[in-house]
Amino acid sequence: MQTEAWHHLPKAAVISFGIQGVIQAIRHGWQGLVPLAAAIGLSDRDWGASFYALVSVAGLLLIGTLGIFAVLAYRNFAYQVDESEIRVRQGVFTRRQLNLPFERVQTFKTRHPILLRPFALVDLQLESAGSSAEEIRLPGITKATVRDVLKRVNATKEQEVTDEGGTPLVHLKLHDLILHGLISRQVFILFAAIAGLAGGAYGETWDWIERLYNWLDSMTQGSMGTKIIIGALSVAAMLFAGLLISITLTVIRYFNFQLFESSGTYNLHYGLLERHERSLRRQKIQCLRSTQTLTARWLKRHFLYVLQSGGGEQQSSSTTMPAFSGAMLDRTLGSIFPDMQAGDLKWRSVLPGYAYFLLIRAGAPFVLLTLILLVQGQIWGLLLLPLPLFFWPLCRLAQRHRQFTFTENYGGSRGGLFGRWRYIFPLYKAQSVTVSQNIIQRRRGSATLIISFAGATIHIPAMKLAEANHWRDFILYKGETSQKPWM
Amino acid sequence: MLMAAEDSKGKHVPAPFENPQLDVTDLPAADQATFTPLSPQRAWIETVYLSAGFILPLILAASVISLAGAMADVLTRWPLIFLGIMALSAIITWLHFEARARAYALRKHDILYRSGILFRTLKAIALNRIQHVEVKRPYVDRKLGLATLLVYTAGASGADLTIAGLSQETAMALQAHLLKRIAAEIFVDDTHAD
Repeated sequence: MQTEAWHHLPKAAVISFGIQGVIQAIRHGWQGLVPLAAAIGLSDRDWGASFYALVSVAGLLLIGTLGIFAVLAYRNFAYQVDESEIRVRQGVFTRRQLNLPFERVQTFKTRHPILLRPFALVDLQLESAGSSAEEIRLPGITKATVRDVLKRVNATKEQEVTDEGGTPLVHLKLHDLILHGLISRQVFILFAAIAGLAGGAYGETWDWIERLYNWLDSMTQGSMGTKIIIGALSVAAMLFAGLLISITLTVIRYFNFQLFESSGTYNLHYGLLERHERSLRRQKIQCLRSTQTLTARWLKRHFLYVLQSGGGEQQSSSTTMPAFSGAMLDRTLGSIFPDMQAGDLKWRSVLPGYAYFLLIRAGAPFVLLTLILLVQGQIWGLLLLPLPLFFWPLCRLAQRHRQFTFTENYGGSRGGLFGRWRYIFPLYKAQSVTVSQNIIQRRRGSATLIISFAGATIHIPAMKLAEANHWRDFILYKGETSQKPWM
Repeated sequence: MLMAAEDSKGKHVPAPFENPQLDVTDLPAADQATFTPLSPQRAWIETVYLSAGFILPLILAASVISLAGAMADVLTRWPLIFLGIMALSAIITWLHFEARARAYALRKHDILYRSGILFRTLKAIALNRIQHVEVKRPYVDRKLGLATLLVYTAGASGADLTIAGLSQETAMALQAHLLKRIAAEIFVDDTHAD
C-alpha cells in the first residue's frame, strides 16, 4: 500500500458506524431514559393509546436519527497511511484529524462483528501508550488492509509479521470456559439481577410460585419448615440460573480462546459471535497480576491480567485473560518473563506489625460507632469496643499471607485472605520508587515500599526500613543501568 | 550508563555489552544523599491558602447562623467550638512544618524528593524514566520569585513528582537539565534500535 490520497471505507462499513451509534446512544442515554421508563412503568396511571403511539414514533425517530448519523459518519471518514504513521479524518459535527506514528502503537485489536462477516470486513483498533486521543479505529476494512497496516507497524519495530499465530501457549476448550463461567464474579451480579426481577415479578406474574407454596404448605401443614424449603429452593434456582447465564456469556465471549507468542508479540484470538484478535508486544508489558477467588482456588484456576502502559483517564490498560489452569499460567509467565524461574521466588511475609495495622483498620468503624452512641448518651456503646478483637486471628492470617519477594531481576507481591492475588514485575521497568513511613512505622523501624510502573503501583507494607531502602536503591540501579527498552 | 560511540564512517556503534559483578552492599544509598531544602516562603503560601480554605467557610457559616438569629444558641456550645478551632489550628501548624521539611536532591542518574515530618516519604525517579518536565509559576509564587517543577513519568495520570518552592532560576535550570537528559535517552534508544 503506497502513501496515496485519502482512502474511504467500503460501503458495508456503514453497518459498523450504525452499531457504534447504537452503543453510544445506550451508553450515554440510559441515565436519562431508564428512570423515565421506570417512572412510567411503575405508575398506576392509564396513559392511553395515544401515549404509546407517541413513544413508538419517538423510537422510530431515534432509530432514523442514528441511521442518518451512521451514514454521515461513514461519509466523513477517511484514512491515509505512509511509511511512518497513519492518519484518520473523522467526525460529523466536529471534524478532526488523528495522526498516530507507528512506533507509538502499543497494541492492536481486530474485531470481527457478526454483521460484518458476510462482507469479509473487520474492525481494527490501534492503541498507543499515550492519551485516549492517540487511539485510532478503522471500522469495516478488509483483512488485506489490516495485514498491510500491521506490516507497516511491525516494520518500525523490526519485527516479522507472520500469518501463523506463532508458538501456542494456551488453548481453552469448552470445559475450561465452563469453569470460568462458574467462578467468574459476574455470577453474583447475575444472581442479584435475577433475585431483583423475581422479587418484582412475584405476586403479579409468577402465580406458579404461589401455587407451589400453597401445595407445599398443605403437604407440611403450614410449618416453618415449608418456608425454609421454599426459600432455599428459590435461592438455589436463582443461583443456578445465574450460573447458566454466566457460563453462556463466557462461552460466547471467549469461545475458542487461543494465546500465541510470535517474535515477542502475543496474539489472542477469541469470540463466538464477534471474533476478536488482539496483540500486544512483550516489551510493553509492565507487570503481571493474577488473582484467585475462593471458588477459583477450589477449582485451581487463575485469572491473569497483563498490565501495560496505556491511554485514557487512568493512563493504564490491562488485558484480561479468562481463567487459566496452573500449568497454563506457568507457561504464560515463562513466556513473558523467560529469564525468571518460579523456583527463584522465595516469598517472605511482611512484619507482624502489619496484623496490628489491619486490626486497627477493622476496629475503626466500631470505635466511630461507639463514639456516636456515647455522644447520644448510649453508654452501652462501650460494649462494641472489644468486638474487633474477634478479627485478630483473621488479621494474623492476612499478615502471614501478605508476602513479597525479590530476585536479581524480578519482584513480586502477593496476599489475600480467602481469595488470593499476586503481582510479578521486572525491576528495571519501575518508573519511580518511594519509601514511606508513618509515625508508628518510624518507631518500629519499618516502612512501606511503593513501586510505580506505567501500568500499576505496587505497595509492600511493613518491611524493615533498611530492607526497604536497600530494595529502593537496587531497583533504581536496575532501571538506571538496564539496556532493555522498558516500554 | 553505557554510551554509544561512532566508527570511522560516523556510524553509531553500540558500546560493547558489559555485565560486571554487582556488590549489592555498595549501591549508592538514596537516603544518604545531600538534600537541598525548599523555600520556607512556599510553606507560608500553602499555610495561607489552607487557612483561607477553612476560615472562609467558617465566616460564611457564622454569617448564616447570625442572620438566622441562632448565634446565641450556638455560642452555648463554646467548648466544642473552642476545641474545633484548636484542632484546626494544630492541623494547619502541622501541615506548615510538614511543608518546610521538604527537600530534593539531584544525582547523576535520578532525582530524589523527601517530604513529611510525621509521615515521611522519600521518592526517587530515575532520569531515564522521565517523559516530560514542566515549570509552573502561579501568581503569588511568581511575585516571590518561586516556581514549581513537575516531573511526569509514563503511566501517571498527573505529575509523578511535584517540587514546589524552588527559586525560578533553579526550576528553569533543573528543567533544562532534565530535558537534556530526556533528549540524550531518546538518542541512545534510537542508537540501540539501529
